[in-house]
Amino acid sequence: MDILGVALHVLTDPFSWVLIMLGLGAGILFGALPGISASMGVVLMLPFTYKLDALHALILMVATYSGGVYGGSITAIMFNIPGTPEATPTTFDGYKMTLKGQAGKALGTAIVCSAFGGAFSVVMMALIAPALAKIALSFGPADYAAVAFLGLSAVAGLGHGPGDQLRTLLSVTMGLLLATVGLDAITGIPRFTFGSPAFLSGIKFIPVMIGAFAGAEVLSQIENRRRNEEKQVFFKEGVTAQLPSLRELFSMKWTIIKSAFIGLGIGILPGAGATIASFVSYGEAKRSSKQGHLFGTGVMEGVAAPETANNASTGGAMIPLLTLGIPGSGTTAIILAVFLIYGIQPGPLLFTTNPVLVYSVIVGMFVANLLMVFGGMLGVKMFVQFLKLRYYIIGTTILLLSAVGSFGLNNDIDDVWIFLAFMVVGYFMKKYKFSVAALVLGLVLGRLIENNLRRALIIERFSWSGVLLHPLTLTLFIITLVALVWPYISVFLSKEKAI
Amino acid sequence: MYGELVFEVVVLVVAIFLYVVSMKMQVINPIPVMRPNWWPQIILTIMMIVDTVLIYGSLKKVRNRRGRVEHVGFGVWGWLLAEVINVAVFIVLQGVVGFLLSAFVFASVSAFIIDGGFRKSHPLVSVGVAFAITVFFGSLLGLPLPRGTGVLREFSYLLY
Repeated sequence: MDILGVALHVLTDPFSWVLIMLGLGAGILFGALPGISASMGVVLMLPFTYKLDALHALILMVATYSGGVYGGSITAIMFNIPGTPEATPTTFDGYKMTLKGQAGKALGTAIVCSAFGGAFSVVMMALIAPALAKIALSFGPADYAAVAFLGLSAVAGLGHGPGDQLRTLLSVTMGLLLATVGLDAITGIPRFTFGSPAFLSGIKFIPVMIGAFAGAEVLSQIENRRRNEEKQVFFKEGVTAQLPSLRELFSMKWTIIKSAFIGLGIGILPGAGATIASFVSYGEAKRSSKQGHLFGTGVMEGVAAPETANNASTGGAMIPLLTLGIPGSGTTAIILAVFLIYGIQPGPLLFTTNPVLVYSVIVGMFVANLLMVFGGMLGVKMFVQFLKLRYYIIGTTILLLSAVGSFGLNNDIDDVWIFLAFMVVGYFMKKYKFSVAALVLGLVLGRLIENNLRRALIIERFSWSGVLLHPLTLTLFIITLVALVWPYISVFLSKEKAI
Repeated sequence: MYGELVFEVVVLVVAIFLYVVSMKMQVINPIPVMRPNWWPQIILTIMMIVDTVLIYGSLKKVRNRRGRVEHVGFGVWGWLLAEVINVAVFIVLQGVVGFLLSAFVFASVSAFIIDGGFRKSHPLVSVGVAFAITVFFGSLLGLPLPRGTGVLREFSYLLY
C-alpha cells in the first residue's frame, strides 16, 4: 500500500478522526494548563490507549503531542504564563500584544503558525524518514550503540551551565543504571533484582514515566502552593482568536519558513527539542527581521517565529524514533514505550515490515496539525474556561489517572508502587534541577546501548579498536565526544574573550 | 542548598552500595564484556565520579553561605509526606475495598492536601472524579481495575 492508499485508509476511518480530535483537544488543554507539559499530557493519555489497537493508539498519541506543543501558547499569550517550556519565547511578544488589546490576533497567529510548522515538519518527515531508514538498514550493532550514545550525550549537554550539565549527565546515568535491572541479555544472570521475581523482566517504563512526569509535578505544585508561589491567573473574558490576514502572513513569510526549517533541524537532533527550537528561531527572527528592534514590544513576528519552530520540531523529533528506534526527547521516549507495549520495535525495518502503521501515524499527525486551525479557533474560549478549574480537581484527577495508567497496563499492583517510588524520586530530581526527561531517555535507551555495544565487542573479538575503527561509528563517537565537551570549551572560550 | 547536598550524597551512597552488589554477581566467563556486571560497573563508576564533583560544588556553595540562616519549611515537607502516604494508603486500600471506594477516600484526602484546607465542595468533587474515572475506564474502556475482597468485590461487578 502506498502513502496515498494509507492516507485514504486513515481519512475514511471515522474512529481515526475521533481519536485525532480527542488527542488534539486533550493535548491543547494539557498544554494550556500551566504545570502540565506536552510530555505529561502524552503520559496522561496512556490509559486511554490500552484497549486500542497499535495504529489507533499511536494516532491518539501523536495528535496529543502536536496539540500539547501548541497549547502552551494560549496561556503564554493571555496570561504571560508559558503553559509549556517551549512556549516561553511566545510570552515575549504574545503577552505584549495582549496588553495592547491584540490578544485575538496573537492567538490567531500562534494557531496558524503552529499548524503550518507542524504540517511542514510532517511532510518533511514523510520525505526524509524512508530514505534515512534505508541508510539505517546497513547499520551494525556498533553504529546503533554510537547513535544512541549521541542521543544521550546531546541530552547531557543541555542545561544553563556546567553544573546543570553534570546534573543532566547524572540523570542519564541513573536511567542507564535502572535499565540494567533484570536478566542480563547475554548471560541470563539476574542483576539488581534482590531476589524479587517482579524485577526479573526489568523495570517497566510506563510506571516510571507516569511517576516521574505526572506524580512528581503534583508534589511540586503542592510545594508551590504551600510556599504561596503558585502563579496567579487573571481571567480575561470574551477573547476570541482572530486569524491573521494573508497580507500579514505574507509579510512574515521568511520568518515563518526559516523558523520551520530551524524547528525541523533542531527537532531531528537527539536531545534538543521544541524549547531550544523556539528560543533559537526567536533569536534568529529578531536578528534578521526588519522589525528586529521592535521585538519584545508586541509584534506578530515575535509570536510567529517560536510557534512555527516549536511545532516544526515535533515532526523532526519523530524522525530518529521511526527510522532508528531512538527517541530524541522525553515525549518521543513515551511514544516509543507505546510502540513497545504492542510488541513493535521502531527502526529501519518498520518501514518494510509495517508500512501501513508508519504512514498512518504520519498521515494522522498531518491531519492533527491541519485540524489545529479549526480546533484552536473554536476552542480558545473553552480552553480558557478550563483554566478556571481549581488545582485540587486537576491534581487529584492526574493522580487517579496515573494510578489507573500504572495498574491497567499489566493488571499488577506492583506497578503502582513503582509509580509511587518514581513520583518521589522525580519530585526531588525536579527540585534539585536534575532532568527527569534525561532519566527516562537513559532508561529507554539503556538496553539498546548495552546490548549493541556488547554484541559489537563480541563480533570484533573483544577489541575496542575493531569497534571504533568503523568509519560511521568513529564519526558518531567523535560527534558524541564534542557534544559532551563543547559546553566546557565554550565556557572557557568566553572567559578568555572576557579577559 | 542542604537538601541538594543530601540528595547528591544519597545518590552516591546508593551508587556505592550497588557497586558492591555488582561485585558479588555470578561470573561464568572471565572476559570483561561477557560478565553481567561489566556494563553496570561502567555506569556506576561514571555516576560516582560525576556525583562526587557535584557534591564538591555543593559543599563549596554551603561553605560560602555559612552563617546565613536558611529558611526550612518543615510544614511543606509535612504536606508532601502526607500526599505520599495518601497514595501509599490508596494502593493498599485498593486490594481491600476495590478501586471506587479507595479512589473516593484518596481523592477526598488529596483535595484537602492540595488545597491546604477543607472546602465543602471537596467530598462532592471527590465522588464525581472517582465515579467518572471508574465508569469511564472500568466500564466503558474495560480496563482492569482492582475489585477488592468479599461483598465489595461482588458489588464491583455491577459497575465495572
